[in-house]
Amino acid sequence: MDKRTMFAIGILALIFAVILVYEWSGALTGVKITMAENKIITAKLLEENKIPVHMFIIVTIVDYVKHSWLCLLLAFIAAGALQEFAPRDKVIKLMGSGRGFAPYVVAGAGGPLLSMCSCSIIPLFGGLYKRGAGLGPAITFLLAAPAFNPAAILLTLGLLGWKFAAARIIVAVTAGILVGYATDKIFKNKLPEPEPMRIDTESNGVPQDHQGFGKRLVNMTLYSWEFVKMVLPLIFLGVICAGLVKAFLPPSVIIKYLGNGVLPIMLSSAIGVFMYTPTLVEVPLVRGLLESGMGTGAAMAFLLTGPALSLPSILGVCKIVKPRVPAVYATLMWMCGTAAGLIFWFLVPKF
Amino acid sequence: MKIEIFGPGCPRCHQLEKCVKDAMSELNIPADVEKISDITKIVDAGIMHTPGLRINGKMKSTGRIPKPEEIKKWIVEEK
Repeated sequence: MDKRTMFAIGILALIFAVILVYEWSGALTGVKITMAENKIITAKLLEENKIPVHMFIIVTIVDYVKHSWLCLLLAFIAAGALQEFAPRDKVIKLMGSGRGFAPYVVAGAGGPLLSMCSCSIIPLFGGLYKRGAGLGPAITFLLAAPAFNPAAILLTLGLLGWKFAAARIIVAVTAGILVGYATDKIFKNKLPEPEPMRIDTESNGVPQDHQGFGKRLVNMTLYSWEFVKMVLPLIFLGVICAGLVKAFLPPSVIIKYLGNGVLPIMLSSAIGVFMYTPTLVEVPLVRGLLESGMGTGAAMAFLLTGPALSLPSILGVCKIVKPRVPAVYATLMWMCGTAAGLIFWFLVPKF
Repeated sequence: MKIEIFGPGCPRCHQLEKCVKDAMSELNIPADVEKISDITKIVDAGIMHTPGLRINGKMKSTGRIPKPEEIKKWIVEEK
């Protein structure tokens, strides 16, 4: 293992250690208790107290920032570190090794190591597929990577609590591996083989300068800043959507269609499959819905299928592989979403 | 000289396009600049990390936005 890999792993370990210590010492729990004590503003309160809509949104934003600023800070540092130090080429090489389950596990867990930008996931998928990683691992990457985004996980931790965050990781990686494997098996020998190009180890032959460590720390900070610029607007968008949801969707509607029960979970999973949710927007949105009465199972289902799939993404993938393929994996993901929702609902009945 | 910028449409790719255009106007060197958003073309070009920058058929950078000095250096090299 070279220095780069060690450093990347070291940073991740450090961040998770900090979170663990913080949680253990009760700091996060303290925040959650105050959360419960504060009046949770919902559409009902809006009607009763005649709070103006814009105040609503401002209060929601302030509330969310209070709960998530630390996690966001960590997320940005993590993003920059991963972007600069993660050993991408090694991960891609491992995915192409083609034996047994290893490529799948690497594909599922390697999401954050390969890409932080959700828009490069489709070209990455195309590259992985066409260059010999195989359909299965490529699909696993496509599905697990958006959910395994460290920023999204940390934001989930901050806004929804550790149970949702942990469940998200487990569910996304598991579902990704299962669906990727299943899709690969279903389409074995039924699709034209892509040209078996060797997977480049030198990132398309672009010369890599080996820069000094200090310079790379600077790069890392620059990436973090780029990441902040890219992501903060999305979070605000999510928070505004959450505020609007709380202001305009009465809890009765949410409880009826997205509350507890098998059908709401299935519906929520299905909505997630098609709805375009830029990564990170889904977290504040789901929190808003949960506060207004969404069931925990439905929320979990949406957290799986929402970031992983969307209509635009499916259409994009259709250009790389036959439409039958996305049709299959979308359906399988919907089923996984429902299953995950049901299991999570059983384990965590209340928000 | 042909400059191609590969990206499916996220803010970083637009940023790269802007940087390239700024560099070109500063250097005052004419070139054919093309922005490629089609996923199939991006994948066929072998680019896995967008945004990608290709000058005269040679891949100069992928997955990041190069500094203006670097872009100018490449443009001058490929003149």
